[in-house]
Amino acid sequence: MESLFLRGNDTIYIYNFWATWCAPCIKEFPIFERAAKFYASKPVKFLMVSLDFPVGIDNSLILFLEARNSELDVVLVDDPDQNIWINKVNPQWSGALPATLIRCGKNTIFIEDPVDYEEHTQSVNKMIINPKTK
Amino acid sequence: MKKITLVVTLLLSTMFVMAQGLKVGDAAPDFRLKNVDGKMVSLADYPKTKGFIVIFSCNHCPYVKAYEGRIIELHKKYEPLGFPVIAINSNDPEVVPEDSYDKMIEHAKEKKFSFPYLFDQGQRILPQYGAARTPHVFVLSKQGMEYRVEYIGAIDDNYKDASAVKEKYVENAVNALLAGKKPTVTETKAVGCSIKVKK
Repeated sequence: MESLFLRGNDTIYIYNFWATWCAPCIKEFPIFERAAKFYASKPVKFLMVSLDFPVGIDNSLILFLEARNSELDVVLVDDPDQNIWINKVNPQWSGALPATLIRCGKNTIFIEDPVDYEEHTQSVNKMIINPKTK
Repeated sequence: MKKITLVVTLLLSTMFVMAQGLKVGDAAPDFRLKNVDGKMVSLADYPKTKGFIVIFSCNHCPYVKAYEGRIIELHKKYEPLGFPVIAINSNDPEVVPEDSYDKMIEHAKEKKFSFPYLFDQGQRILPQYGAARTPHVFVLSKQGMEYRVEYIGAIDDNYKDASAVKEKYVENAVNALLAGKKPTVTETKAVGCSIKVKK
């Protein structure tokens, strides 16, 4: 899991923590699909980090992804000791879903709330314009 | 463009500060909320307790469902020792219809809750405590007329499998308080459902 988060270069990584049982997550899922298309030619990578319960995944996550035919990269986290890894993702995160982390090198923006497309792209644009600033 | 982004970022950080609520060591405010039996419940209604296990909960959240059996057991074990469970649902039923007061009554009956399951109508208690997700536990100890926050966080370290739990955070905190000590772990995090309020 940690290797997913410790990539350091000028690429912008956008991690969305979600689950199919989380209604606001499902609502914002298309925002990330739209943004991924918008940034297709830019050094921006999206990773949808699912916290679906591993039991019954065929009827939840897999069903959802097949029905959507989504092009986003999705990983499933199966590490119940959340108190350890939540702080590693970002110390600001309470653990509530959805949550989004935008990272470029040491630069991070953390959003614990459903994202808005305009705000989201503005945050990403800022990092693209000047990825080295704090 | 840059200016706008800066404003957005500032707004986000301000929102975060506002949402922080209680910290360990703070005095927790009392409340008066409607229980599933129709009666109003306050912390002050329990003159003989040593403290409380206040749990922000709801009907719909899969993480609450995973922990429901353990919440019932916590009350069974600790209510006789002076630490009853008090569950509070702060979700707005307009956002989550499954968490309406009527559905709470049905749910409490079905699961045979022996602890109060209170409805935070209008989400007035939620911001005072600063609960962010369900389930989110606040262990309080009674200090004279005050309720002091001793522990904030998860029930234990394994939502998936109660038999694989290594650290029972809430039990350890309450056991320490019963032994006249301070809990060693006072704050933990866990994934949960965000508490849904009207925008």
